[in-house]
Amino acid sequence: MPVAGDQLRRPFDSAAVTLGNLITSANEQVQSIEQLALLVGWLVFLIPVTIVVAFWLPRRIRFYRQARASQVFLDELADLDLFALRAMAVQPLYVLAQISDDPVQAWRSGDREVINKLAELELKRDGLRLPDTLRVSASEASIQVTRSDEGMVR
Amino acid sequence: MMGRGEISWSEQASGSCGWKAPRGWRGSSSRWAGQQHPSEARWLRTKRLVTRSGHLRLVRLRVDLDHFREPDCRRLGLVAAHLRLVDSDPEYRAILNDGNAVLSEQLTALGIEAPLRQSVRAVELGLHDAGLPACLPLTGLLGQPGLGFVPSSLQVRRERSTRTTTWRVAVEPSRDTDPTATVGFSGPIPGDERLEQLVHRWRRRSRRDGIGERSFALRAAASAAAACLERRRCGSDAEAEGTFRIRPAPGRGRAAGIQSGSDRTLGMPVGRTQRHRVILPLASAMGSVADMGIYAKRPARMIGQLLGDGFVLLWTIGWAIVGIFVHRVIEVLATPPGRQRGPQSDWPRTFDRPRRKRQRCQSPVTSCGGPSTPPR
Repeated sequence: MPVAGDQLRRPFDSAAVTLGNLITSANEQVQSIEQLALLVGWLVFLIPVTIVVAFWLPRRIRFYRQARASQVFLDELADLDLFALRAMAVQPLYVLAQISDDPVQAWRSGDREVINKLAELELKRDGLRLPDTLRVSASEASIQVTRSDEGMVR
Repeated sequence: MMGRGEISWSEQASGSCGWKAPRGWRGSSSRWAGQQHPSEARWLRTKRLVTRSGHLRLVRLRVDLDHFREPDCRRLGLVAAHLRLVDSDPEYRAILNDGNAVLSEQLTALGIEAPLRQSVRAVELGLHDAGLPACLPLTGLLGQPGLGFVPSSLQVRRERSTRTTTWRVAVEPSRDTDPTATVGFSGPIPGDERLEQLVHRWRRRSRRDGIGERSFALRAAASAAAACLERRRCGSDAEAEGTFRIRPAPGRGRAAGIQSGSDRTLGMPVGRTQRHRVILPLASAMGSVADMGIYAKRPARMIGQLLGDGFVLLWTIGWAIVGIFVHRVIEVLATPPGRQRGPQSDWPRTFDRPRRKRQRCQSPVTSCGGPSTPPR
């Protein structure tokens, strides 16, 4: 200024510096708020999803593995004995009691009807169904065993 | 009498049937190989029994040498020793190695308690003589489940029937329609030689018919013959027949099986040997891993799984939307200072403009219109 000189511009210079610092801090605040928004957004998404997936995924994987292994075994009529035995080991006793009074003896003696029911029980746990061919074979085998018993009695 | 499938004590065996225990075999009360007698281990080691997979697993099969229906003297002989991976947990069992693997359920039936997921290093199977079909060559029997070699010194020579044998064998595989073969016997009980002849005949026939000489066929024939023999021994005068089905591609070695009415009369411990002496379904009925998806085959459970998966999917999508919403809401807080971002670069220049203008005016070259500037 021609009259006031440098004394007049001095407050304006300090105001400019202060305002510059203010804007710099505001920009930093904006950046931190953006980072915070990103972080909170991810956390809001991840925490509940992780909790649910942590329970859901192992169950699904376990089911898949178990069903796959059971499917591998489920190819012969004789394999029903295995599933029946597993059912006897795993299923609650009251469930077993509904099938037979003495499931172990029935399993040992080869009672196909009881074995089939027990196997169905175990297959149900694995999410599998007894194939129709095996079901037919089982019924045929039970009939033959019955005839064999009758022949031995005679 | 030794119970069915009971693990029994063993002693130096020299049965009346001509059995001799292998050299080094000594009585052992232990059930586990980890407690086996050093001499046994030495004997087994000398046989160089090594599994393909390198796992050292031991299955010993011992047969009571007493005569059928005689008091049990508990004369046992080691008739087979085999090293193969034996895992008590079928889930972790090698698929291609389940021909002789001992399942945990089988161990349970045999009175062996093995915790799940723990490999069984040794299993001793004690079969009672009464549970074996009469006149059955144990070599063939043991070869049937593939329990490994049988020392030549242990090949059985048992008493055979002195009756004359007139018997008939009919093996009629009809490969085109149904891979079923029928083995029939008529006449008195055939002896071991007859059974071997049956096996040889079946082998010749299978080779001639192009089925191929497969061990499962031999096993099935032997199983059928054993079933017939057993049935006949039990007093049935009618012709005994054993029917078995042939799986074209044995694959995992579990193809030997038989459907016979005398399945229950064999009285053998529940194991691979007995279990596969039951009818085999057609190849189309075999279980396939490819058929198994990620969902259950039972409708109720499948619906539950679908609902569960749908819930998880919706849950994930929902929380993703919520997360995006929260992100944007928080970003709004940054908006007011963000608006200052545009003039930010101008304000210092605005306040700094007089100083820069004064610097320019102090220069004698530049003209700024000030008093120091010479008038134009």
